[in-house]
Amino acid sequence: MEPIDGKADRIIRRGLRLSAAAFVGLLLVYVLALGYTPVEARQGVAQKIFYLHVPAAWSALLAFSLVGVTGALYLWLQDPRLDRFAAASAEVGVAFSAVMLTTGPIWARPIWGTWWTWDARLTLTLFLFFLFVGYLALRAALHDPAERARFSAVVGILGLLLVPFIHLSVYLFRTLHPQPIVLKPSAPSLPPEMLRTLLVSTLVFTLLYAGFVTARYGLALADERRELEEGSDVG
Amino acid sequence: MLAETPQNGGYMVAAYVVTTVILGGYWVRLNLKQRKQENQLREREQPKREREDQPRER
Repeated sequence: MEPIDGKADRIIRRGLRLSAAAFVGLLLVYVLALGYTPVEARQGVAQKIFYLHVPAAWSALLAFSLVGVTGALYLWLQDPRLDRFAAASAEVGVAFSAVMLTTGPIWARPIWGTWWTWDARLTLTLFLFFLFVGYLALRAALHDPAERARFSAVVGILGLLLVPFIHLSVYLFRTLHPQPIVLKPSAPSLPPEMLRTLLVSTLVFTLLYAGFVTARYGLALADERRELEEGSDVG
Repeated sequence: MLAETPQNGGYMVAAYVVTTVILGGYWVRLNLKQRKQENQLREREQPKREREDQPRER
């Protein structure tokens, strides 16, 4: 098969291979969650949604945080690689948010008795999701690369400011959403089997994030090179 | 008296299926984009190569 472009092609293939390996890991997570971890007595098997929902939330917030950080660095250094990474991370973050925002209500229905409640944590998370959908729409609407990178960096920084607020919202407001059980000042309050499965799942989701972002970054690089070539052909 | 463990396996299955569909779908989308780009490049490279292969007139 003919390569798209040496460097971009290598990056895309590396990303796709890494995410394929992470999918094998995801299969292991399913086996661990369904076969190894005990059933929570009060919540029943629906509690096992936790092993997907929490790592998806972690990956989404990691992705959006990195969009903000690389956006800020772009405004400072003007390096197009930072903008390319931010765009890739935003798109992957939206995919993980979709997992978080669908598995959450599926868990909530049997446990809370409702699919959704407009409390601080859920509303802010939904707002963050729409902020980054808007970020992607903004990028698609702007054609000047420098202007696109500058404007989207500002939106990315606004998203980054929301992330710690979302994490702390369960302490700041009355909410139905459970308090953190791992990322908190005291020791994690989970039985060892549940904690192990959660950590494996978090690692797998992080690898999946890395693979997706790498592939998406390579695709953006290939796109840019193609546009440049087409521009020079016309010129 | 201990309360009975609720039977809600259907919700768990739904969540696992939705996760697989979203993440698997995104991976497939990335693969399709890569293939599309390869095809576009091949189409653009072909006329160039044909031009290069033609013998030059003196």
